[in-house]
Amino acid sequence: MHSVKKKGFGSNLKESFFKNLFKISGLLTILTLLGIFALLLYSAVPAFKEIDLKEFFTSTRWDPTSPEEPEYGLLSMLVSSLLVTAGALFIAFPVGVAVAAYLSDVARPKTREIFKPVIELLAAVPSVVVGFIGITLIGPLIARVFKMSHGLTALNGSILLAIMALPTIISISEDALRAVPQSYTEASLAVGANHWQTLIRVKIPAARSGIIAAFMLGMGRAIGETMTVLMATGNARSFPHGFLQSVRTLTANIAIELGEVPYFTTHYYALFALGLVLFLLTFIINLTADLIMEKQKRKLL
Amino acid sequence: MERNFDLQLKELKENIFRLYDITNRVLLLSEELITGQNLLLGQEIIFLERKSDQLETELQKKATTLLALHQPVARDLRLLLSSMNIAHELERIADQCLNIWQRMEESQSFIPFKVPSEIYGMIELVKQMLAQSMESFQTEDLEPAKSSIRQDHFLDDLKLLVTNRYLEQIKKKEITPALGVTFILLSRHLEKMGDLAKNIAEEAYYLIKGEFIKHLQTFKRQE
Amino acid sequence: MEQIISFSPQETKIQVQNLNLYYSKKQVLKNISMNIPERRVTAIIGPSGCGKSSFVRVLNRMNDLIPEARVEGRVLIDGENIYDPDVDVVALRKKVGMVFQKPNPFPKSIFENIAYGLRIGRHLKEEEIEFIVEKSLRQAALWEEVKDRLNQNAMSLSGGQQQRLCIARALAVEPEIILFDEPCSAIDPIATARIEELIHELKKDYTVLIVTHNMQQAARVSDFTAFLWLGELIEFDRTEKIFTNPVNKLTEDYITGRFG
Repeated sequence: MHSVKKKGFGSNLKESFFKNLFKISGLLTILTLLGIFALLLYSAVPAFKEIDLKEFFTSTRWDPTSPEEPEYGLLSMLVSSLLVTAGALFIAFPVGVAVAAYLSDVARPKTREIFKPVIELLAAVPSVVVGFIGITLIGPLIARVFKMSHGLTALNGSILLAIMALPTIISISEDALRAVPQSYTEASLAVGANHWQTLIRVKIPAARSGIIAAFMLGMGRAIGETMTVLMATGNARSFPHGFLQSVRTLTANIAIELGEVPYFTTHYYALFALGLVLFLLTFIINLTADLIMEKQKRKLL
Repeated sequence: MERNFDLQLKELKENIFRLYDITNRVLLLSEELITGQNLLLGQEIIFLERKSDQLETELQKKATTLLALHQPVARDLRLLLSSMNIAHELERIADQCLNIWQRMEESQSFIPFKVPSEIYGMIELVKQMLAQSMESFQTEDLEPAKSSIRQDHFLDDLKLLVTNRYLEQIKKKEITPALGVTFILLSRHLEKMGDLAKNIAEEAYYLIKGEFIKHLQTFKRQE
Repeated sequence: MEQIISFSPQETKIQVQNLNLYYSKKQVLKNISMNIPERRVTAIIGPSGCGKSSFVRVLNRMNDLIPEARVEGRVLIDGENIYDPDVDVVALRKKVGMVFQKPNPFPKSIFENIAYGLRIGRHLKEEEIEFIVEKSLRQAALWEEVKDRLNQNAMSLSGGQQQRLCIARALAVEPEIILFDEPCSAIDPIATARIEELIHELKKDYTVLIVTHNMQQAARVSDFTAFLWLGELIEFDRTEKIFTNPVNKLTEDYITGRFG
């Protein structure tokens, strides 16, 4: 008869070693995140010794280097960030879902095998290259179409961010659509629905949370993007009134100013405050996306 | 594929043949009782008849269990059902032997008496029919069963013959009424045993062909 | 050595003639010919992979979903070959409903699950839809259990209830034939018993085919039983005949559990 008792403590030791190794790795990630958050918070708080919180959040004027009256209002940049992001999603989301539906439902397996890696490759294009395309290709195109002197506008940024968000949106939406059980499709067809009706009325609603998650992740990708918008949107400090205007986003502003700002000044701390806002924004977006995807997973089990 | 169920069916069938063995021995004892008119054989007949009762009960229990637990279909179902019925018929044949012994005991004051030859003929027929019926059940060959079924009407005829003759003799006071009645009853018992043997043949037929031929009189008319 | 029962044209709903089905190179069904009677329950039994499910999926052209599937021969429903090029597959699938192995309600409300088939293609008034939903749920013996919670998600129902919901969904589009593809393999015995009762009721109005692994189930619910083996129709006869005295040795061995 074989005893079921543990033999020696060697195996125990090995087991606990690996268990702890993984535990520590996990904890390290969380610690890093907390560290970043703490650093941001630590560097941001001193800014508010001099800056009025109300001014920070409601003023549209950001002019820290003004000799007579420096002002620290993030609203123009926040709205610019949101505007460019909204524009990007307005383009990328419908296109992304349509491509995902095509890949999951219409395309032959061969076609999909080619398309998917290509789309994923698109995600690997460095943002500086995308920005470059914006300056040399899409910007001038916008200038020509709208008869403007230059095309470095919010629209330019939106189009480029759309290109950058597409792979995320396509990939996650397609996964969500393909995760819809075949049995739903069969059930739908069996009561006499055609493929189109099945897609619109059954598959997309069933994949809804996955598609929403794709939307959120695409948004996170767009809002945090720096280099492309820095290169392509013109970086004007004014409050945006439309897509055909140069804008400066939160990320671009941080990137531009942090290189020149004297350390440990209010301006320096204020940039960290912008970073904190950005961090919280993307954190909330990603968290929401995660929660939605988790919900989808549980629902499909 | 040899199934556990097959083993149990095989065991059931073996038990049927144990019961058949007992019935056969009782039948032979009754024959000896009629020819030798030795009432002491009764002891053994009673003993064996009780044994056949026991065995039949066991068989029915076993078969019911198999039905409930295995829910057999097709051949398995037919084998179980026919086994249950055959067990019952075998036990009833043993019962009839007991009846024969009782008749002989009732008439012991007349011993020794001459038994009409038709009775001997009937015993022979019953033995033959039973053997044929069981052979069909064993070998799943239809012919013996058919032959068994075909012979049944001879028993009816003989019974009628014996009954009529002794009723007549009793009426004419040519025979002691008690003895006459004994002969009539003996022929009845044997005719009944023949019926039961025929039933077994029909069960064998059902097992083999899956058709009910009871009360159809198929073979009498045919040939 | 096939033993195939046949029916008069008046009794026949579906005629299968020399049907062959291939999945790319592999032949799944081999030269099957049989007439399926109207308003009766016909069970299809056979070991796994014998082509039972594929066979019923031929009857509503569900195999069209598989690009490599190829059908030869003819399948006539009410005399019309459903593989003719001018057949409207959507109309066919409304006529030939299907209930699947695993209950597969949509992640929608109970009401919308049944209304689904009514909302596509046809333009019915909301009160007509409500009427049909109730009627279908009653037919599927589910109405009493769900009438107070029609707006709840169908996923909140038990497995057996979900399967009856799927039956109601199939009934709502007024089919003439209902295909059951192992409808009870994922639900408990009591729920199974209810579905079997239901199938018994349904045959008054519908032609029912049921694929089942469970031979006792075939014996309980069907009037006729077809035994498929390695893609061939081995025997098709009255159910009581198949289960008491099958003609073919293979049938006998299968139903008595000697193989499969």
